[in-house]
Amino acid sequence: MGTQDHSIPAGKPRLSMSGVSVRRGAREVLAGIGLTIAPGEVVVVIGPNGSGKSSLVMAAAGLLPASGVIDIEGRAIAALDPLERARLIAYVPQRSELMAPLLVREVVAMGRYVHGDGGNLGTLGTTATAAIVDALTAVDAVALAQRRFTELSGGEAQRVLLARALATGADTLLLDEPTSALDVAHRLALARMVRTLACRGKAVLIAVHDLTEAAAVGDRVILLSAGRVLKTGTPTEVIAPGPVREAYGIDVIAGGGYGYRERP
Amino acid sequence: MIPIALSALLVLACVLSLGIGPLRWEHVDHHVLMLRGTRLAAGVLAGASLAVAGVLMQGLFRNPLASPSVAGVTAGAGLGAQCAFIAYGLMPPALALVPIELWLPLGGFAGAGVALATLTTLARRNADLTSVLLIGMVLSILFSSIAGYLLAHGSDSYQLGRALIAFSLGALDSSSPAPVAMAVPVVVAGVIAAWCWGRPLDLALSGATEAASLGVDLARVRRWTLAWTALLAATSVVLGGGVGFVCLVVPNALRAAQGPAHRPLVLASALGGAVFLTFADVCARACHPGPGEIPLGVITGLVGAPFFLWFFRRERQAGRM
Repeated sequence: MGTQDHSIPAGKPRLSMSGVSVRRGAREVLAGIGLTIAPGEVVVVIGPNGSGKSSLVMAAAGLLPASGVIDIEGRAIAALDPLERARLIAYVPQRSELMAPLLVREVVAMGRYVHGDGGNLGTLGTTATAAIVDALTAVDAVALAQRRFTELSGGEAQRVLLARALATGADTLLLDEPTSALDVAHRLALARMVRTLACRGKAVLIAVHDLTEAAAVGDRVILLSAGRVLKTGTPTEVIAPGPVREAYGIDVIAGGGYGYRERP
Repeated sequence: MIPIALSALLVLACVLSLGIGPLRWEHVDHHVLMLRGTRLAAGVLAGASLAVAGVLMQGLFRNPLASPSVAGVTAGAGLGAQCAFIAYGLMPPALALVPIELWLPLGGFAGAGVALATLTTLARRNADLTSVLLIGMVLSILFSSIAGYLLAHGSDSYQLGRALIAFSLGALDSSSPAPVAMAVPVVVAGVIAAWCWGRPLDLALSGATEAASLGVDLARVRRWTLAWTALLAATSVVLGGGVGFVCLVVPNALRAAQGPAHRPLVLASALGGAVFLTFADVCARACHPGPGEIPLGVITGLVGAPFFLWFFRRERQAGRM
């Protein structure tokens, strides 16, 4: 909760949540969540399976009915219409439900819907085309543009979904385990890209499994356990033997030489 | 490329439709041409509206097999129009102020609306592809059996009975110029509306959550596309009766050829539906041994049923159903 946040950067937060709870059926999957993300900040959500990482990301995107306060750019998310909301927040699901064999270019163009692009006979203007090419370039997927989405590998599809989110131009990015299907090169590339986006003033919330990755990419880390925030703080504070044992029930050696890091 | 080819085919179909009939060409005068022209226009409009209604419904349910004729919507429209037809005959002449040309479309639209509302209500909980299809088929059987009862009941009057039989089998020959002319703005508006909703329907292919995250107001898209589907299906039923499978065959064949993006699909399907039904109507006249003709719904059924089975098998094998 907020009392543990000692390191909120200056500037008005892009996203702030307080006392957020989410029920799915009879089960409370999130309870009393509070967090803020400032421009230029990357916040990583970690936690065991079923701890509520995906629900937290979806609730922050306004895609789950939630109680409590969720503000985006100072406005209540529930009061925004879908178009306004999508202009401010982009959400990348872990897997897409898209089963239709659309071209990758067409899938990324979906991100331009919020700007009314693709209006004239389905053709895209130069701004939209440039935004789509930029988004595909950012995720190293320009070569996939003319492929069918349904024929992509899991990692390729994940990068295309990320490109679709980037094409919206939203300043807050919410990524649900964006690296789960990526190879090591693309994982490192994604981490680099997230840092670059943050440098340009975007606010990023990422749910990840890999603790090494969480430590490498996050300014702050939120550790969830059974729908509650167990600890938040800097990566070294949170990804430490104590909290990790409490959440996952395993003993780890901090900085014990496992994992990898890209050579600067 | 595909729209150009379809336009060329449509021209060919129109020429054949105007040229082929029991009368030898040298005896054809402008009266005969007027009759054939009306029939041709009815076929073009009914085919286009059915195919576009199919595109809308398949997009909305994210299911390539959900089409008005398979899911009970045309059966509902047919039943509604039949009820209107019978109600009109029962009314004392003083009350029958609204002409029959308006009664039929109103009844058809109401019937299609009831069918779609029932389908979406029942399928809300089990929105998977197979449930939608099964519920739709059950509705279709229900509406058809009620229509069958009305048919038996209506046979007391020979004239009414004949009209109802022609209606339920699908036929373009009973169309008079007035309803065809009235249908033109409805079908044009429907195709334009379907084209406009094509973009949010593209996004809706990614499922409700992702579409909402990309800015689509899915409830609104659902309301409007359902209304346009009902209107287009009702129009086709009023023009051509119970013509099945156009809404299934045409959009799916074109989707395989040019991809699932909705806007190009709407335009190509409008053309393709017109071509398909016009050719079917030419066959209905040209292929019957002796005088008379084959009911149009029989021809589209002969083409459509095998296509449905083949397509269902293909989807199953691809693991999509």
